[in-house]
Amino acid sequence: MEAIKVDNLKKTFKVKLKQVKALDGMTFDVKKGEIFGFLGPNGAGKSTTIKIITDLIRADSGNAYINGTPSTNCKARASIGFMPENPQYYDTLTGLDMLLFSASMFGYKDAKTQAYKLLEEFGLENSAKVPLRKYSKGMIQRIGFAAALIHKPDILILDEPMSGLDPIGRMIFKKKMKELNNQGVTIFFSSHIIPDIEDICSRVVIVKDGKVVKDFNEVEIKYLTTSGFEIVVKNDNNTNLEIGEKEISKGLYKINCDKGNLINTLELLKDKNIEIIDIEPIKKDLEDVFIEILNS
Amino acid sequence: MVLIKLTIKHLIFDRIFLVLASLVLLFASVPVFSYFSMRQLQEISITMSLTLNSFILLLMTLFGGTLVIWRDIERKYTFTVLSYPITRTSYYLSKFFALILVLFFISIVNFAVSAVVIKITASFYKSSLPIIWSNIFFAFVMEFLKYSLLLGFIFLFASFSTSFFTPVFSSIAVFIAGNASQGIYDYIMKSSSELSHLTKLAAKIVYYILPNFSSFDLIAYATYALPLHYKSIELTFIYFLLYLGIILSLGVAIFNKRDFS
Repeated sequence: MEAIKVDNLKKTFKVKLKQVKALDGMTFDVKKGEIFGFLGPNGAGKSTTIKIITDLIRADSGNAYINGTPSTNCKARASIGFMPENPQYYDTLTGLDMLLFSASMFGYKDAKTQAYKLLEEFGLENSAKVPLRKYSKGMIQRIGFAAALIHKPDILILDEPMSGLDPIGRMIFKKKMKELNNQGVTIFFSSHIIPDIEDICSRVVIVKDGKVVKDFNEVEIKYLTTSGFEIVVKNDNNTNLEIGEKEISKGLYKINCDKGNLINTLELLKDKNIEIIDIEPIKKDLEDVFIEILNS
Repeated sequence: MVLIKLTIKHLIFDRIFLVLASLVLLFASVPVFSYFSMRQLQEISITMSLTLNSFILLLMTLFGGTLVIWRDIERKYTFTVLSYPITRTSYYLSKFFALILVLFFISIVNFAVSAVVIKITASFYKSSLPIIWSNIFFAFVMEFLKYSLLLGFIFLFASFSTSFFTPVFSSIAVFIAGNASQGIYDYIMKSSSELSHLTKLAAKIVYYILPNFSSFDLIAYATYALPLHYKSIELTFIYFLLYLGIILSLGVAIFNKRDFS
């Protein structure tokens, strides 16, 4: 069974008497144990889809399911941890109160130990008793992430979780996401920050104009973002290879080749009895791939 | 229950709430103003206490009611709270009952303070009328019910409105209309045949749609120690329950259909 299933969602909003189509047959599923990246430009329908999954918005047609339960049923949300985009929390609560409130909404009465553990993990232990109105944006993001984890959910839904975070905050988030995924938690997160998605996702769906335009698994992501290879060879005899090799130090040469030309290059090196020291893929940004897809 | 507690906590730490709650201090002015009435100190103190209670409850209902739902939506607290495994109905009703509890608590405080103030003022000059505490008590209860009903209207308007002003001004309009409806209805029905049958029918329909707040007004009974008609209080209570049930159901139905985008 899929952790999340989105089936032909359609949604139109009325904006200044005009009908704006936000979703136009959005369909995808998130398998259990995946880190699923939901990528798209602004206005592609990412947040609308997430809000339908969390039942903040009702679709005109189509359905969303969480662990097989329709998202309109509040019980479906018992197994998810959700962090909205630019989260806002009751600002009279302290960080600790926020986590305890969140836990109690999921039926956990005694979550103090877990709350302190999370506060420490997210570097908020010194602000545990400070009201949220005194928190910075980055601290709010961190307490939001911690609040989404307090009840140990099976599925984590994060809407632009790393926007506004400093590099240390991003590192903590990514590390935590990988750690949770290793423990079996399914992670669904939307972002328009491509390196974040590239770093941690095992699957990426690209959306545009309210529907899915591409669906990539981990291998496909690697393939698409690899433009060629950098081969380091040992050529003590200084044999002329005529494949654009450049000497990087005495007897060591670097060869760049396109990804479609790798086998030919390797065969040539084998024929000439050249020792291969290292082969590294030359990565191009997922951003470039993303723009190519959107333009096509 | 968690949400009720949180709403109360959030509300009592709010500056507007604290300012409104501090209006309780105005009860201290009741004996002073009652003194200007010469020989009706007791009657004036009862009327003023009930009026001040009504004023505090009105402000609390208008601002508390609007802030609770509207602010949750405007500040996007709903994105978090409604993503928890709770129904929108329980969210809506928890918020409502949290405010009802606050209004109830304020009514108790106002009643207690009023009792002291009335007792003190009455001791300055012996009135020919007795103080019937049960009448005063019922007058306070009825005021509480009246503002609970008004709160229901605010929640109804807040269930579909995106602005702060719609629930506030619509509720003020309902409050004014609800207080005037009985008088206007009586006038129209008693007035001669100048008015057409259709006008009278329209007045009747509007009268039944609008809440009748004047039936909750027991100030005269409390002030002048008039005998209470308990049957009428019972009917008013049933009316309150039915009316509140209808507007809350309507509010819940609308809130359940609403998009939080």
